[in-house]
Amino acid sequence: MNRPISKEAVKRALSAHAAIGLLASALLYLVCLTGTLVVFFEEWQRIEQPAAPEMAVIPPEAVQSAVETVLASEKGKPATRHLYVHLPTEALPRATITTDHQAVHLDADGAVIMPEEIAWSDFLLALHYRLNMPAIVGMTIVGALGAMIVALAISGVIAHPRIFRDAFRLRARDRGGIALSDWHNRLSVWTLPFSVAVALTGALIGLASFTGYGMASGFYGGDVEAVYAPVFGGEPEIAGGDAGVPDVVPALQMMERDFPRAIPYYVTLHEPLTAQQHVQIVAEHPNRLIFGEYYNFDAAGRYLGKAGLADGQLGQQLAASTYNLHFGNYGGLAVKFAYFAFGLALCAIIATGVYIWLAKRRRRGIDNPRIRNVWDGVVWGMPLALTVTFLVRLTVGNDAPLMPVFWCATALILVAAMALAPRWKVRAPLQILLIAGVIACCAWLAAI
Amino acid sequence: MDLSLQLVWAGSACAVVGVMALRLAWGLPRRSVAANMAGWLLMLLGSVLAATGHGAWGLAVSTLALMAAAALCLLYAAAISPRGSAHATNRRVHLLPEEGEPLGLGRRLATLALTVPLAMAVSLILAVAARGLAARAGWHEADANVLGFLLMPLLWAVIAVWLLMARARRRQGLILLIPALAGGAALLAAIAT
Repeated sequence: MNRPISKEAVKRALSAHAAIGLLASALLYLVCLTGTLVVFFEEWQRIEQPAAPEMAVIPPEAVQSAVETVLASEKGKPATRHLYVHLPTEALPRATITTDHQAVHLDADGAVIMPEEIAWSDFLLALHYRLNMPAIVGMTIVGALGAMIVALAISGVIAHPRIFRDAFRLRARDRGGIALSDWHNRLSVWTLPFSVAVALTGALIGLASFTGYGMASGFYGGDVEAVYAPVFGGEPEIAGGDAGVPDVVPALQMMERDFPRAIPYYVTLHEPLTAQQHVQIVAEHPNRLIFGEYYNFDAAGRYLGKAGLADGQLGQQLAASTYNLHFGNYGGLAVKFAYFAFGLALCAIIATGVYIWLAKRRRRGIDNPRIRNVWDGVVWGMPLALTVTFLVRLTVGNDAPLMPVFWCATALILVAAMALAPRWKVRAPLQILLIAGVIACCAWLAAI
Repeated sequence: MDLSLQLVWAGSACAVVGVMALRLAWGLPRRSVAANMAGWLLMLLGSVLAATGHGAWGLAVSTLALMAAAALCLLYAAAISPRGSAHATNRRVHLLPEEGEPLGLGRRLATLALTVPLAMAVSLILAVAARGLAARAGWHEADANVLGFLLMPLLWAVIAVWLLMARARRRQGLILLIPALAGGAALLAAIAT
């Protein structure tokens, strides 16, 4: 019987799979590790600043009062281009106003209570989104890594013709590399829908700037915003109105009255205190993958229309669904825990992929203790470095230099791993330090 | 609970049962096409039910349930796995030279250049051309633009694998050149109209 895929094709696919995986392994691992942790972005914020006021709802009048207070407090500073009000949600029951100059928490009456202090959560998100690099460069690299995970999935399926036939075969106690290969292959096949979904959506989000520039050059005379306008809605037509503080009360009241199934979670004031100012409300649509729908209002709170993310063109709904599908925030804590578990599985797949390659070389008589030690440094050292940043945040405060701490700690671990080989293996010490670090974080949090 | 949510739950349950059925089917001493089909069909039915209930959201939820069930099966398989003595393959993947082999750095860097920047550029040309052709065919602007966004990383992944599977440089060149020329021509045609 003819094989559906020739032996030669399998061999080449395996080489392609290994080449992609090995070249990008450390960055892939970092992006997957931070992505796994960032699933709990809202929960991290609550852990990081436990004293911030929490509430189930905030009345529209309280939001208006807070907006007026914050805008008044910025007199004399350069005008903020946007003012965002985060409304309390189930995952993050806090009301917070963010401008170009500050971010503050509100109480249920709209009084400004304290500054927002979530530096670690923001650092983690920035590390995942753009590896702490400038936005477009970093996001493009992360997007490219997403495309490489898709390539790994394709080459992995071609390279293992029996991957589905053996889908439940896990020889976890075999030696000679079988157990490692089985864990790698079995986790890969059963998390394939998850891996492809998060990788493709991540690639789409990360490479959007690059693709957007291409489309803008070809069809929109270089205007990148015009590429996004048909998808997410353009700027509404504002007939040069009042430059006083916008009124968000009628807008929020209308949402409750006319769109009772939509749950507002962001109020954005565009160009506040200018003649072009307008109000935009982002509202969640329960049991949908879309992140929400944009409802537009003028500064007096008169309804101007919506973008169509919930019921517009298929492309609009698809684009709006990529974010929730990527970050796993579409079904409460149950979905978040599932994403966390599958994210860990993806980290394990990447880690075991390199270990399999190293083990094969060792069995052929080529031992690479230095590479093995460095890879141990990546696998166990990166989570340790993240734990160190969290400890630094807890002990030093919100202004702690988290980015340099992370990258210096990582570099130190990798250099030490390389220098200590072949005499000393770093895996066990790093594992012990990681456990100790996590315990220290938990103890510190319990104490405060 | 409304009917839509009930369908999502029923679909998720169906997907879980499908995984279990497939596990049982693949554990039979002799391969049973009927048992295998039953497993796959139950998973498919689960997806259809969940998608009917709540569209993409329902499908995503039922797929998570399916993967969770499979993960439990795997954990069980790991727990009861006997100690064995089989050996994994030692097949080379040619990423690093073996002892005595030249490093071939130039060759490796050329492969990297073909797979990363050049394949990325070709994917962009193809994605933008597809966007132009879709708009020309009467697609809504939003659908056409999102098609471009979606195609770019997908095409890059496919081209990268294809390139790495083709060993000969000439073949690799053709893999990039033919789509680039075709995409370029389509793009020019789309821009011209």
